[in-house]
Amino acid sequence: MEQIKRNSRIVRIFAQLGIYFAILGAIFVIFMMIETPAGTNLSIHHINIPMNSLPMWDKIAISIIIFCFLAVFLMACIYLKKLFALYEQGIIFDDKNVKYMRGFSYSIILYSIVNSFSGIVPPTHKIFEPDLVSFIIGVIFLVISMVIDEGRKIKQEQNLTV
Amino acid sequence: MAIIITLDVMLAIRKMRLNNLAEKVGITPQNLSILKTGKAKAIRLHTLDAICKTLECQPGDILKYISDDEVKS
Repeated sequence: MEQIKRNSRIVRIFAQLGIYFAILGAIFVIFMMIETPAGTNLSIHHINIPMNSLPMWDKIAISIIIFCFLAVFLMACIYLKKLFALYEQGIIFDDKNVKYMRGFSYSIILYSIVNSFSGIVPPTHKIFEPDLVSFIIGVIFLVISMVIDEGRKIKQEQNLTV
Repeated sequence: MAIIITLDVMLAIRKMRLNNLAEKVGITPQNLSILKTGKAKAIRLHTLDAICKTLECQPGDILKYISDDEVKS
């Protein structure tokens, strides 16, 4: 249990840093959209887009896509932080564990959806490029959360065994 | 559930308190309270053995089966 607590603390700190990174990233994107420095390129689906040559509406579309990515990343980090904070306190197989694990898996599935449609922005014009890897990872985490839910039920029953 | 626990009746007959029984059986009073109030989902044979030994009774004296029809009526 001590090892779980120690390792969970490390993961929780990284998740916390991820939250700060997402917030700073959002501020950075806003600044970049207001005043783009000369020679700034943005890579979407391996296509380099020169930001200065883009019209205003394209910039707005790109910033919406980036904000969607940051929002999903922030969501995943918040769920991870909460989940590992519980592990750090030694709380395992609890209702909240299942809830946060499920939230984390949904955020990965959401990431795969956002990534699949990220090419929709005008300069790339790729309507749909499926991100199957993230989707499968998200589904795997969802199944793991269901297994944890079964473990929670067993623990609850064990607690009521005299 | 159709199984009811009559531990409180047996404790009254033996004029014993729940805390004393818990101490003699070697389980916490909280766990014994779960058993007494019927919230328990399962009972270990080891615990049942210790309770029967302390109260000098049979398992049937503290566990009763009531059919679903009787429960409804």
